[in-house]
Amino acid sequence: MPCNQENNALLYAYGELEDSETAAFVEHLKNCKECQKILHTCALATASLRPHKAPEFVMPAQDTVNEKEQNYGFLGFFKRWAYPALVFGAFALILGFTAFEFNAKKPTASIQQEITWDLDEIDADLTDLETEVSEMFQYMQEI
Amino acid sequence: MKEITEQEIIKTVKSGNVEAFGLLVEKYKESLYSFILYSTRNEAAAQDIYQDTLVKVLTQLKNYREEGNFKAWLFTVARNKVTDYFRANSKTVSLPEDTSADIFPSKENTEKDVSSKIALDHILAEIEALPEKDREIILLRQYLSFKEIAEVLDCPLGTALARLNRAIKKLQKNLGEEYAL
Repeated sequence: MPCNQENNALLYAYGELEDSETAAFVEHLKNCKECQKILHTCALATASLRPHKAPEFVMPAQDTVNEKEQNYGFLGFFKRWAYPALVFGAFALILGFTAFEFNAKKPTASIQQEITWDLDEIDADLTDLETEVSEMFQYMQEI
Repeated sequence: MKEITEQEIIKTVKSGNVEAFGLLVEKYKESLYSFILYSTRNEAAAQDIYQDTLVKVLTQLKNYREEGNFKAWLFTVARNKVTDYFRANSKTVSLPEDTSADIFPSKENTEKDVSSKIALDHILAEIEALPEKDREIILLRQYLSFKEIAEVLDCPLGTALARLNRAIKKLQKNLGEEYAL
């Protein structure tokens, strides 16, 4: 049956059990095989994980650090994206202005009006054609 | 002479004196490197991750909140780097059967020391053979307090204790009668 003091055993094993609870736990430990086993295994794990000498840390150049710093935080974010945002904004503005100009020059007429204009043009062409044909007949008669 | 506190060193680095960062490195270098080495089980990768971790901490120190726990943050960065390493090399990294002998060459010569070293290497091999989550919690507890572990794993302290309890029980079972009390 698992012991209800196992968390205390772990805290005690790593020296983190509150002073006020230590005496009571030590008393419990004398008769608890489960907690004794936990302490024993923790000690084995600690002993096996021996420390290792770290390699020399190569300090990066000051300007490299500053350059990297620029990419973090609100200011860094602003600095990083301000230039592309400005270019994009200017491009969008030019594109928008050109589109507006193009629409402004275009005559605003309804489809009905446009059809009327087209019919008038056809009428005018037909009149010209009639005139040309009659002139041609007159010329032929004269001949 | 008054000893400089960790917070004072951080303030100095944040004010632009990058060289002061060396004092922080000096304080944590051994535990940080050991944690990375045991996590990766690869010396070359551990050296790269160790360097990358410290460079990242140095460059992000300006955003570090001084009321936070620096050691927990340092180990969080290292843990993320180790995760990135395994993710990037998920198809190429194969863990050797037992790396403990290579990682820790013996300096002892007496018969007693050799036998105790073999025993410790065997325990280490059993820790390395544990599932990732169990191995990680045992490694973290070697270098951090339970409160710091809860911060690194972003979980309640009770969860950290329960995870370690489970891991210790598995290790105890795997070690068998030979290492029993």
